[in-house]
Amino acid sequence: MYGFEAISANNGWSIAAVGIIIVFAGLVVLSFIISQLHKVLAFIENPKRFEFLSPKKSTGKEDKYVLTSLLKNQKESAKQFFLLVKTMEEHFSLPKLIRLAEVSNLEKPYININILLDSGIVEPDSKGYFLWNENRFKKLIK
Amino acid sequence: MDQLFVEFFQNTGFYLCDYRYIIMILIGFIFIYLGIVKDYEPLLLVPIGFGMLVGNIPIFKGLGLGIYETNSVLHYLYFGVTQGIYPPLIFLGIGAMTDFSTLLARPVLMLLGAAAQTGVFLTFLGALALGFEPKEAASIGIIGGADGPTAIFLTAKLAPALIGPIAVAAYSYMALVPVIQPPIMRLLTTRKERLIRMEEPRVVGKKEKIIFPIVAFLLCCFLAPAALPLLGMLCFGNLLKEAVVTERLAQTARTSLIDTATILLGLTVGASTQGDVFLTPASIKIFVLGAGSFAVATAAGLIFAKTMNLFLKTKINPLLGAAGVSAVPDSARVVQMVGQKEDPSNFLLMHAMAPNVSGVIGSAVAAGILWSFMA
Repeated sequence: MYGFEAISANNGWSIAAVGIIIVFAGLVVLSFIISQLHKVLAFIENPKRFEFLSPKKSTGKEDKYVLTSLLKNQKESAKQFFLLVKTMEEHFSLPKLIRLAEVSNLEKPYININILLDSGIVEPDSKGYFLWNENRFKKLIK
Repeated sequence: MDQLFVEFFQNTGFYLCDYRYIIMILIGFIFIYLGIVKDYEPLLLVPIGFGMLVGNIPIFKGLGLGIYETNSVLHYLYFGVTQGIYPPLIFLGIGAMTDFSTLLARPVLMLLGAAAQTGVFLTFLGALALGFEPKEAASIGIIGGADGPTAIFLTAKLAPALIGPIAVAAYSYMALVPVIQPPIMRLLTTRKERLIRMEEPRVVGKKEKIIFPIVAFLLCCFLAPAALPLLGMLCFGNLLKEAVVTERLAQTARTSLIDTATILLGLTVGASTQGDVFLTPASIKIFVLGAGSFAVATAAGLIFAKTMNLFLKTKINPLLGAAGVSAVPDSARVVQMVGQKEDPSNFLLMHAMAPNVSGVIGSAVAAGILWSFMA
């Protein structure tokens, strides 16, 4: 027997079709697994990188802060600035705060205000003024 | 005394020789020439070529010299071929040599290795159409995988009588990769496509490399258990290599062990091509189908790569599709060569190794599937 007749008689079409499908399916699944392998390993090595899987949901706000903790002298400086801010209105201007700090003889006012901004203790109110974030302040000086 | 001389002469090769032995000896010379002078797969073609000379010395039957005589030394060495012992040992060595980094960096290229296996199944259909039995057709089809050890392993299991022609066809076409593939590659790709540059692959971690052979082995062998002897050894060899702590074993696998297996396999496969057994119409059909199989496998890889480009954001160079056949690393080198003819600063070799090694996995899985269908 020859030709298509021989192929059909020996179930050739089905064997070829199923064979190609199995080879493809196997290698597609394998390629998918190995494409995810490095992500799984990265997760096992450092679960914190995958915040969507961690039980503590982040507010997303903290990520933008450059500083997440303060040194002892920075904490002291923050407390002094807190006393100054209490004398001001809720929405205050930074030049005024700097002037007050200079008048009060606080050390390095520019640098320390910058630290307050970086740590999120002083936040812009999006109208050109600034606010004192008391929660953040309490958390960082603990 | 005269009678003694006559009897002696009647036992010499000069008296017993016929044209078939001469043809096979000439083919043996061609293999040795291609291996030594043209540098086409010398590690395979030289042992096979010399094996052809060994197997085609006309001998007096009954002395226990021929490979098909049960009491001969060659027959015992050939046992490793007929029982499928040498191919898994060669796969162990290949595994210990292979770096799967590029495949791990771009797993999507694994699909090119799968696409090239289309050639295996289309040739299987072709062989059936030419009147071969299903088991013989499956053994012929696997030539399209361009993987000598796999072809020998499957043929030993399904159609032992065809080991000689199939092994010689498979290794011949593997050696002729630089001749067969480039015209097909140029025919099926445009210059613009051949100029595509590949993205730099990401760095692959050690842990990934260690886990990969275990995952690949488990998945592929659960899917096609008949691929166990070949894939098991391939993945085991690779694990020895990547584990580092087993470097001594990996070193042995990729040097002494694979070399010993290759010498014994090449010599005995060559010796199995005795003119009176080898030169048959079936062998000629096998050679024609083998060439077709190889061409179809190459074309399937190229066309699939072009099809992938329709969906991928970052285009891949379709020449990589030709490396889906598992002639490692020859077809990857051919991709590099053809790519560099268009743009000498385009380096595709590293990228082509990904489909190339996935072709090894794909052809072993295809062999396992065919074996399980035919068993």
